[in-house]
Amino acid sequence: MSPARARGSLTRLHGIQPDVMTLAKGLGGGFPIGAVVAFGDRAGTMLGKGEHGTTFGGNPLAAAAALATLRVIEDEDLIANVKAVSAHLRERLEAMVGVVEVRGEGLLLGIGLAAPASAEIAQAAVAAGFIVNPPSPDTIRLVPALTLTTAEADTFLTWIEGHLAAHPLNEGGR
Amino acid sequence: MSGLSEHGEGGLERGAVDLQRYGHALMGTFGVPMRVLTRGEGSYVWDADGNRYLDLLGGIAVNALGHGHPAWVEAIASQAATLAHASNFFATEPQIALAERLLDLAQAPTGSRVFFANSGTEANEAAIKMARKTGKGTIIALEGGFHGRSTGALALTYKEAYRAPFAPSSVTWCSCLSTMSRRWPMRWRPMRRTFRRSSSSRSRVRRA
Repeated sequence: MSPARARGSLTRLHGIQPDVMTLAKGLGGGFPIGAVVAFGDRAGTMLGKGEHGTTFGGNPLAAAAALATLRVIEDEDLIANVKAVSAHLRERLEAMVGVVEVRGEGLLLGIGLAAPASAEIAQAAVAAGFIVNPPSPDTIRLVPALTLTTAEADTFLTWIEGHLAAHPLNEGGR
Repeated sequence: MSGLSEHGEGGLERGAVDLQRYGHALMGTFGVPMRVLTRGEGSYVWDADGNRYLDLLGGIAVNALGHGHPAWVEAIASQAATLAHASNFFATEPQIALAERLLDLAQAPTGSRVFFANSGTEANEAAIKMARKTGKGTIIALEGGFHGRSTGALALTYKEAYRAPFAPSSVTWCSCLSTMSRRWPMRWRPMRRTFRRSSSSRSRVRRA
């Protein structure tokens, strides 16, 4: 999600205009970097000389990695890819028996399961060649690269569809 | 895509040896890692035994461009060869350009500014200090929210000028983001009920 969209979503969904927004995770495309964006002069001058600091923060290597990441997202129109692959994942996942809901936005998706079986499904997925993680007992989380193709997503969708069919989820687990 | 048989117990010999070394050399904070990974390309990674995986975790929502994107690799290699680190006693062109880019992307108004850290945890630490400096006293956090694992290292910092303006404040856990909104009068009454319930029965106060 772009910074403008992130801030826009807060305003639209929750009526909040943030004074400060923090960013990290994908910002450096795998190179560690975090950022605080302070909106307006008051927030922008809240911390003065000597009131905060960092040895490594914003060093030119990390900044170059983040600039390259943002440039590629724009140059390759990855947001369009995210929308397309996300819609495809949602459509196929929501039609699967054992999936009760698909939460999230873009390519940050939570597959809500009908039973608390996420850990064993994640384990089976790795054994089958797919890395996913189970953040809670009834949720499988997908956070792939924004470059994931529909064909690549399909290999996982076909696997999990088959797995859920072979190992049906019942209430309270199995 | 490698098949099931290629990812079985028998296929993990080199990885299993590496994991033994891992267990002896690294703290157990992460339990036993799933696999030992050796390389990545696009949306795929390979483990120490040569098995390929479709990476749908992306290093926990980090590898936005997948693995080894040529433009990203070139930018890092080129910058590493030019100037990798300088400390914040100095300014650098990439740092200034990135701050300007973020302000532009966020459509931030004049006067807005950026602070860079190494992680989301550290970015949140800076934001918490800013919130504390307003003197309002209470920080509201979402139930179930994850903001990092730092311990509030600031509380242990000796120099008073660094510490005093940011003294620990209480955290109120709330179950709905909208409880924070003061700009949506139509929802103010239900929000207050949510807030009170949250404060009395579901909240915990954390001192950093």
